[in-house]
Amino acid sequence: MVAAERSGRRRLAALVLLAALAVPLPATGAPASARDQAEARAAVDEMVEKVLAVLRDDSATNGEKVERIQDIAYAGFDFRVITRLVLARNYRRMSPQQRSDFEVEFKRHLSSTYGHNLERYSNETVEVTDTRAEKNGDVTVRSRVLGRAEPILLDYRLRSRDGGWYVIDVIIEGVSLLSNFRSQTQEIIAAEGPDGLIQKLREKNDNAQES
Amino acid sequence: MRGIPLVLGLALLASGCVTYPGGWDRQAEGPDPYENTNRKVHAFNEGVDRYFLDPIATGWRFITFQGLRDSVDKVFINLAFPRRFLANLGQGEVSAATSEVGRFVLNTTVGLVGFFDPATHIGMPLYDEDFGQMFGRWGVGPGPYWVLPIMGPSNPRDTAGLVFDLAFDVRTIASFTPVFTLAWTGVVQNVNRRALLDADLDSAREAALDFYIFSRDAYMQRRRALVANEHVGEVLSDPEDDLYDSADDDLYDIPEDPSNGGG
Repeated sequence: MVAAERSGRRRLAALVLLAALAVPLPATGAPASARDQAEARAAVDEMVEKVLAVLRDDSATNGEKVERIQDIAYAGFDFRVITRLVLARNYRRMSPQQRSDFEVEFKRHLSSTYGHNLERYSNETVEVTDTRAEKNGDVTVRSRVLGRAEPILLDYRLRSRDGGWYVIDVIIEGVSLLSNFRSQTQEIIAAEGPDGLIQKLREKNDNAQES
Repeated sequence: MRGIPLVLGLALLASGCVTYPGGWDRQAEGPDPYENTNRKVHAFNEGVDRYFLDPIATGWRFITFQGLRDSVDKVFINLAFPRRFLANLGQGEVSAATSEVGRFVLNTTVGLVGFFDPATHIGMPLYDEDFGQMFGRWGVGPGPYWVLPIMGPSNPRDTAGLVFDLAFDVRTIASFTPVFTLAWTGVVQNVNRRALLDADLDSAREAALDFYIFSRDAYMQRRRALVANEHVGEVLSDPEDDLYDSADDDLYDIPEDPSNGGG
């Protein structure tokens, strides 16, 4: 009786698996399927777990932690897409050299900012709450950071590429960092041009490295 | 006496301040017609922070501990109860408004004027609504972004909301000299809050390429999210539909033909 029940359950599991595999990949622009959402969620789960493991590793120095988390972020974020979306309409007006210069400095900027924030970690945990399919095929994975006076709402927006899911935006309490950086870069480019923006970023990064 | 700020607030809302100045095209020119003035006020606020607020808050951190600072903040949150009650009610959130009454009674008595927060511990969360959010829910647009001296980022709708928030604060209602009471307790409240947010502010300034625009954009996005009431579990749709739209097939084909780059 028990055995029959178990094999029945196994058959059900196999069916679910088959059904999941049978779902075709969405064409660009179509909302993400349940399988996409599960994959995106797994990608966030994995990344969060890796980061928390580094943060909790008491044997590592702060410099080592920054480096390891930088590696995790470089693997989990799609900086090419992020650069493109941050620069928006200005992207078209910039030379390939300017674009890649900006991407390099922007990555440096994000990782140094992130690195300095690591020192503030004090046993917070991250709880993934749910996922949402976006109209254009992206998936938003929603989470809550627990351990402070009030929980902080933290959403990750992911986009798929080559069968993997990569973070393209982080939304803290309703504030999209992508949108925020876009506003800043647009105004700086309007006033000082693309080279002015890159110069500004570079100086900021060099100063951050010294301190 | 107490009526004056309310009339002012209503006048501000009704006077058309919520619309942009004549000739300003919101779509083409953005949300910030007063940018020149705003940047000056922003610089002034940064100066006040650097030379007054930050040093005082640092001293306050030195003589207090985290738990005490959290509790002081909670007292002021508790005393702001009437705005939460009315703003929830005004948005039809009757059960949230009722819960706020329960929270206030419990936290004022058992929680010693709000120094402790037993209500949250027994499963009554804070429904942090204010009048600005209520007006937003009613369909009042934020209007042009502006920066208030000392108070920081705001807009006509939220400034009017703030006047109402303060007019209904327990400190205003229970005091014989509301303006005086609000002024000195406001200093305590903001020094304490500044001490609580010290590290956040540092990392925001570090992350920003232009702290003025960083603050403006973060404020506008945050208020939009609050008006949409994420806390009740409603899904917030894309703030800007085209934010994530790269609409480019050649995204990964860099470098591309440079002749496209000149625009």
